[in-house]
Amino acid sequence: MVDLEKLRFTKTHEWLRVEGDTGYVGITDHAQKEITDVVFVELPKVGCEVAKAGEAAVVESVKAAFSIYAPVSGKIVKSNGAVEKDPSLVNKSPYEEGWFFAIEIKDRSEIDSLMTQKDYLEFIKTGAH
Amino acid sequence: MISTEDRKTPLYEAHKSLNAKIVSFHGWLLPIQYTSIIEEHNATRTRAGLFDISHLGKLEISGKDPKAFLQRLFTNNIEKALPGKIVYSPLCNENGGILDDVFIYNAGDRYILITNAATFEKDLAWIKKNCSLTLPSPQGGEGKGEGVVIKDINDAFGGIAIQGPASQQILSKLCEADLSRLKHRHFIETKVDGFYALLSRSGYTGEDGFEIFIPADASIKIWNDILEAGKGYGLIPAGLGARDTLRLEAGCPLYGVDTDETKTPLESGLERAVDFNKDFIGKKAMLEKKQRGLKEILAAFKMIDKAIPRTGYAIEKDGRKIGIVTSGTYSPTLKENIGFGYVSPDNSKAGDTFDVIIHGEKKKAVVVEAPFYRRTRLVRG
Repeated sequence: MVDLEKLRFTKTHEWLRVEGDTGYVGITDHAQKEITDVVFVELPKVGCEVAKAGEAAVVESVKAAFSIYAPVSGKIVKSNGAVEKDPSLVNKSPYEEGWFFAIEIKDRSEIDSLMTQKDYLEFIKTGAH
Repeated sequence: MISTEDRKTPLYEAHKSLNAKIVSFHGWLLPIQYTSIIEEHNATRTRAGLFDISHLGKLEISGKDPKAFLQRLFTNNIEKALPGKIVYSPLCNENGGILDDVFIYNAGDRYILITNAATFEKDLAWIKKNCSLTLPSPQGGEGKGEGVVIKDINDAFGGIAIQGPASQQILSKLCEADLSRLKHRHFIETKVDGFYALLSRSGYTGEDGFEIFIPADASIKIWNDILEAGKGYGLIPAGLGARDTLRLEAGCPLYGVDTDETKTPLESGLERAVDFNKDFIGKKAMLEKKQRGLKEILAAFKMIDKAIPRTGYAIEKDGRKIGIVTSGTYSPTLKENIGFGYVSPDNSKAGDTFDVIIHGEKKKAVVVEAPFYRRTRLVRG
């Protein structure tokens, strides 16, 4: 099980799990419930650079397309082929099997600007999204 | 955005108690989904799905010779609507622009018109206007001309569609009529669950199924009783999300999305519902257009590259814009990405290829014959 308290969150509903210099990125359980039935995921190519809050991937449900923004800046070092093959993993396992890509974190101070789990839960409760 | 002005259908409380996700759809609060669009879609294809269609507009045309009046209003030949039969027809303005597409039921002494939800008020105004203009009567009076009576019966009735291969078995448990004898696009006035019902074998999903219009205040009881009757057959409630993916697979254009006032039936692939051997509003303009040649045609296409087309995406050929996507989705049945779009006629034949611009990239697509999905019909033995 992923320890949600160790994750950091964005206002656009991505989560970031930091392992050394690498940050794994996915979307939250709240977001997958809102999107529902993910049928297509387009991931960034390994080696490309992404900027914090820049569009990095696209998730599509039956009804619409949703942009996924990079929580921090850096180079894409991994992308999750399993989720491209079976997009429903985003719904079934948003915090584990449903991750999208990993970033080589350029500036660790960017991590501090993200929300903690407690902040995020408060954020979605107040409906400020 | 849900606003306080949105209207509730007679089934609203039933959707709430089923924990549906409610959205505002052309001024009506309706369920977009109960659990999952894909689940509801698949249930309708393989077993049965139950839909709230109360938002559809309902009008009754009666009085003196309503047939002649409807012949002038509608592009299709109303003679084809024999008593007990339904005819589908565009309703056009003088320019041939489509105001709505309507199902016309011939109930013997009167006609019942089932319109789209968003267009109901506009249709009603247009029909009344043309009634008093074309058939002036000394009595005058709004909506009455030479004895034609136009009655808004929208609020009196709720509507439920049961769609899918198990529909007949399920509905038969609540209906005395022999539904196996009711043919496609035919209807009866009967009782369902003990209440009056205008019951037709029809739908908007590409499956066998029925649509019933029932007294508004009995709608929730009938809805719940059908759900109960369908338990052993895998019937589940299905929302607008599944209704949209089902109709797209079945190749049915949606008014306001795939067709509107800026298009005539010629561009929208609805010419089969236009009878040029009779007079109707918009005929002259359409014949002129036919002679001049069309600039665009609604085409059904499948994506070759892996990407989902959506409403408004540009269509290009060799880097030049040739059209626009009107509807698109991932098809849960075919597991492919499909869409409708207007393209120039020389790019609209099955097998023609073009690019859809998706998230800034060219993605290849090929024109196919609609429908995308056709159910396998059982051979009657």
